[in-house]
Amino acid sequence: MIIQSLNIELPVSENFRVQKNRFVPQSVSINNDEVELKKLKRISIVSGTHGDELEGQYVCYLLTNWLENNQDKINGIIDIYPSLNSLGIDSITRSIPFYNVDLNRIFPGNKNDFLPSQIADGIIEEISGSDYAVDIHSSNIFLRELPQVRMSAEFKDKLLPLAKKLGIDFVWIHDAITVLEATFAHTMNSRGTKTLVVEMGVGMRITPEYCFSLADGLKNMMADIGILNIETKKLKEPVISENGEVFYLNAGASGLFVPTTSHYEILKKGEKIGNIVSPLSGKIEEEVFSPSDGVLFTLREYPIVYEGSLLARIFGKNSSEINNK
Amino acid sequence: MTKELLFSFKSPSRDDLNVYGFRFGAGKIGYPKIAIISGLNGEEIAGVFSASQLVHFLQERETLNPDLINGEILIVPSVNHFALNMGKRFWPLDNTDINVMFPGYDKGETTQRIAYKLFEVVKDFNYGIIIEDRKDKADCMPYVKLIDSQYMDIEGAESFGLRFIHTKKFEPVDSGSLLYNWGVWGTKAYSVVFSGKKHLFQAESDLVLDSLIRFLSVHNIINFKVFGGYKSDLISQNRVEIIKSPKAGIFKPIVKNGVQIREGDLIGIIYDSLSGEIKSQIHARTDGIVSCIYSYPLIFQQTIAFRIVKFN
Repeated sequence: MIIQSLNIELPVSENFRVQKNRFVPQSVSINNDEVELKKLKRISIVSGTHGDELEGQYVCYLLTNWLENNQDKINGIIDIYPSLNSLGIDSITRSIPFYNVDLNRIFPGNKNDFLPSQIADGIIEEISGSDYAVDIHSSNIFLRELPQVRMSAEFKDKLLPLAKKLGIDFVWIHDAITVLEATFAHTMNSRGTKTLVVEMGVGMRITPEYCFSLADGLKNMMADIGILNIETKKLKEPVISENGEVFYLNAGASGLFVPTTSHYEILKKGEKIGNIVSPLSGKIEEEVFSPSDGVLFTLREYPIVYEGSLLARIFGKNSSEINNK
Repeated sequence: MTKELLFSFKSPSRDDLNVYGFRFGAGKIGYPKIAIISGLNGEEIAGVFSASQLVHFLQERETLNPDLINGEILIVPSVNHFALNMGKRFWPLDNTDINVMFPGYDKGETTQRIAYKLFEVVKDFNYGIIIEDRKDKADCMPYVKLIDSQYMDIEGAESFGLRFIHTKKFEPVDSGSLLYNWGVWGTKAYSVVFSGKKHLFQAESDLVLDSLIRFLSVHNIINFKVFGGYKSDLISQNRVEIIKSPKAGIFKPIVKNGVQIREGDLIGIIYDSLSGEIKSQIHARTDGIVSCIYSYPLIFQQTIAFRIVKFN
């Protein structure tokens, strides 16, 4: 059932809204059984915080389509929010249009602050009380990412077992970063909702194979936590970042980055990744090499680079796990 | 005065990003050093104007009085010229905000590197001032912003002589701001906030310029007599009455910043964008002074239309 959960009037004949599709067990009425609904486990699957990230749109479609056709398998409440930043999604705008503010840097928001902050506050109020949440991001338009779950080390113990049920390629556990405390996931995790952040693909595009895989993984996870009544599958184990090291490759020169290898390649230390070239002088400004053996899990998609632009990330060293991709 | 190239950043196709500083004084022993930064974002045109007018003022006065400068003053009127020159707010390629990247990282992303290069230059000063605007679409009376933390220096903030000093509650995003990081590194730091995204607002710009000169004078960084300013009121969030738009539409404020209002006064009108009818009249709910007004003709429902500093 499609429900409008946040509704703010816009200046000229339009309303800003956040919409969700709510699925509940067939035995429960969405409208009438408040008490019964509160007894059920609830998961919120959200996407579209950044308006240029579209992979989650397709995942939401795949899930919703499956749920519509398998309503007898539903054991809990499944809320699917494809477009939190609906103005951004419909206008290829990463931030909240008009304000140019990144929605995922202003949580938990504030009713008394400017519109983006009110939207953040409304989203948190709406989703609070969920037992679980999954926040699906693409990468931005600049980088292509292997499907991965990212989590802060402080929430690792609660989140890692859940992430392992997704059948995802990689789990990146990072140190606590103050600025990330303003994200949706941090806010929800701090308030007791186990919230995973999925990052995959590239901005402004969809990668169907990643979307199929994540939709299956989400079903598997929901089965594991008892929200779906289907058999859990033994999906592939993710590579965990703690078992190796993440290497960042930033551009040492400005110019046009032209990769010489493919995303998700397994590299040897010293193997070439690409060139930064100057269209004006016709010269190679920098040759980029892998600093380690490892898997190329992030690769720059957008060619124009400044000094410092991220070109690639490699999960490196040791990992016998890597060779089993 | 010397004009120095503080650092340079190569672009793929544009001119290099050359960030210049204007340095006054040799830093006599016993006198403080101050850095003044504006133009971290491309919409902060009024800040660039005030900082560059300060450069001009000091240069002119130094010609008349070679003993003008006691301490050392470094003014960087603009950092993000690339955004200023194309009407963007943030770094144009990736839309990232330099002012959330401090203290910066020399091996990081582009704006982290820019923040790093700038911070390396300005981190060891006794005083630091950043001139900035508000993130939202609001025109405000110039005020001093401090982040409520162990690093804030209220006494120093009073020497600007601006009407209000606003202590802002720390939020995670502040951890990457120049203001906060200056504090962490031991610099007494202040943010002077005012309007000017699209217009110069001459009166406010002059007020800010005056306040900067006053600060330099009060702290004995320059030998220059100034008129006294306001005895600033220290305000925190609970002293500010927020009035939001009950409806969306076309917004017309009735009052101006700085005016005193009484509870019940009509301060703004919202019209229906299509029918032209009055959808809502906004009345003051308290006695006070109007300190910020929403600055765009189209207003969203529940948008902050006015900030009123309450009398007590």
